[in-house]
Amino acid sequence: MNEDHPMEPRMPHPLPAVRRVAILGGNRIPFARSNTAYATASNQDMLTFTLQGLIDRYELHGERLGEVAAGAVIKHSRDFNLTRESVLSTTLAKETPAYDVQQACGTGLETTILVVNKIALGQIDVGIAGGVDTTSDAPIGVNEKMRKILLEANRGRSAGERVGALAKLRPGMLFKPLLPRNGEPRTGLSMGEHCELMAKRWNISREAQDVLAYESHRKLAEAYARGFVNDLMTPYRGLTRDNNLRQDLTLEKLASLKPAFDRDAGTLTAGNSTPLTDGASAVLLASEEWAARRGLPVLAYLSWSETAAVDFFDKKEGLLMAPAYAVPRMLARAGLRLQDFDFYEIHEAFAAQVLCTLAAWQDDEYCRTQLGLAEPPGSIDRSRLNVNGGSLATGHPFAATGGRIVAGLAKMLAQLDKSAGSARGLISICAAGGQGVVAILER
Amino acid sequence: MEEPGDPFGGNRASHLVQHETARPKTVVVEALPTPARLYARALSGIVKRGRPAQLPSLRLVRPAVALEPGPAWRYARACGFIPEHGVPLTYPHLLAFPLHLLMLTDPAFPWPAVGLLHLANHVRLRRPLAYQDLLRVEVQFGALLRHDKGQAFLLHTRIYRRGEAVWDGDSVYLKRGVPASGAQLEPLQVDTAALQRVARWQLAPQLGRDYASVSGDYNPIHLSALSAKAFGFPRAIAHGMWTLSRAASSLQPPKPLAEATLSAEFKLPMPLPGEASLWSAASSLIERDIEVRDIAGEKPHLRGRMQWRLQ
Repeated sequence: MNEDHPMEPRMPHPLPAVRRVAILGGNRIPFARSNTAYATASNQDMLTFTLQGLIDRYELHGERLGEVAAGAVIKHSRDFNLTRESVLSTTLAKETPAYDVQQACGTGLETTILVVNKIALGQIDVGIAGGVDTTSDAPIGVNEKMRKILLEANRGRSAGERVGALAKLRPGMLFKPLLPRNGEPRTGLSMGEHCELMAKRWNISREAQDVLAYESHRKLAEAYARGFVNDLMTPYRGLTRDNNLRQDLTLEKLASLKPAFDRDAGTLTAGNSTPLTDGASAVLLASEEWAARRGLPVLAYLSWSETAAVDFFDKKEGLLMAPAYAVPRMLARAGLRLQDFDFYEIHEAFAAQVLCTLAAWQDDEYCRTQLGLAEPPGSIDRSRLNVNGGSLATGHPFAATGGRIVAGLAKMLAQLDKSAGSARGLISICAAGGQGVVAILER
Repeated sequence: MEEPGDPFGGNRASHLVQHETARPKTVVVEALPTPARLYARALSGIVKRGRPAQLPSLRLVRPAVALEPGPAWRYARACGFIPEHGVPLTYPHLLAFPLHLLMLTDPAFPWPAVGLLHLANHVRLRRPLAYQDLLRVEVQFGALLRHDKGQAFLLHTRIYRRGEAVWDGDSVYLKRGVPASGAQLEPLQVDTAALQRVARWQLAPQLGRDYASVSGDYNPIHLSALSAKAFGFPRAIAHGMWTLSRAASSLQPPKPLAEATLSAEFKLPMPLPGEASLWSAASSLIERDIEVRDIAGEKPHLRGRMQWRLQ
């Protein structure tokens, strides 16, 4: 009760209606294969630079945004507040809150969904979602035994206890550091080994994988030639395009590569799998009113999203099959069919992952027994798949892939000459731990 | 469960009719010799001359072998099987393989083990297998068979679970250059014109060593070019049983088998490293004719047939 006006009752606001959330644009740095152009760039460097590029392009200097959400999959413990620290280094208002998210390769899309949801609920009006990863400037942990000894010494109450603990250190420990690895803790298998099992489960041929990889490079090269990437990217450290892109790639070259994860009976190679990559991306998201106030055109709206996870351990589902579950669930909620899309952006973690997912959606028995669907979603028009290239060509800095795809797809939808509300794109991203993050963009 | 008819389909494999040697001497093998001792035994028996072509009436038995998932999974991986396949169809062969070596290096066996050719192999799964099953593995010689190049003979593997026959294997070996007796060895009839190319295989340089380490078959002709040269091969060659298992894993749907038969004849050696192509034709939903050929698709390395019923 306000004492100055005791007779005037306060009416609390009703909760706002859910709003459409607009994708206004994106920015990324060219992606670089591990230990190449960005070998000495940290996550902090790359994320700050990428955010600043977005801020410059949309003139957000001094603005207090609702929030910035980003993250990195491979992160040093000193970067506990990676995103907030990056925001403080940009020209955004220092009063812009920020937080880190980590959902493996789904991070970039998950941050987008989080910011979109807050805008949709009217909690904020504008925000940035992003992601960054480096496997070049990776954190290396000290040897596990050594770490325990150092912690024991740290706990010691007397000099004697500390010296006693430190006396257990051995020189060999220095040469056996704990390296980050791209493996599943529960199975001990690398992601590539898991995807090999999926490729065999779904009978995905080596030739089909190589063709998908070849197409990915060809389409990305064409996208660069058309200038499609120009307003989605800021050159960084001497790179103006993804250095994983092979303009001169041939199917013969791809066919000559040796299996990388299963040398005796495998089909996944360095050519049809994504390499370790460094890079960062960010997407500007806002309510329609905010965009209109700023005079910024809307590229597309994020309308639906879904995450799913599979039991790849006890039930032995394929590690990267979660998007196959997530998409039909989302389609059911949205009242759409798999064929109702102009573009499909399926993250090419491995060519086999994409092909397994597409095969699963055409398998009656699997759709009935595993996905619980009366009808399989069916096939897609492959000419609408990853039309400007995918992760096989761009590379895949884990947390940065989502932002690359969201911004790229939004622009593709904006370029379509279709009536309002009829252009649609589907995003599907698989992630470690048997997870999948998917979304629908509309315009 | 229905009892299938002739495991290898009518007259295609009439040569497999077993001529039981009367009451073989049964020897229970409680502890297997190490592979090194087995191969030492093979080398010590390298000179055997002028023996009559008579196979010893001997049955070797491993009375209780647990079907361990660890070694089976390592084997599965090297051959392209996936967990969805369950126990690999060809894996029980390996439980009997040390007994095969003991049989072929037995002092009463008429020829040196070194130099024998593995001509063909037939596998029959009678009952679904599961990991941790406790199996009784029996191996004994079968009939002598006439072959153009010398004397062929059968080596039978019979595997039982609680007294019930669950898995059979028949291996056909050839001793070249000796006068032959017995029934004529009939070739497998496959309509090779109907076969379609299914896949290209890249054969890694270490394939022979990888398969040796998961199978225990350290025959030097598979391990390296140098060790293969010592036995008259210009390069190392792939294990026939790997080739067969790889073909079976490629063609089996991603489900465990209730029963199956797999027959194969080994043709030209498949050099390592190298490339090969898998060809197959579906005569029905549950039957495939198989060939493994060179990369050009011209010369056969293996010809076979697989039939199955899923669990």
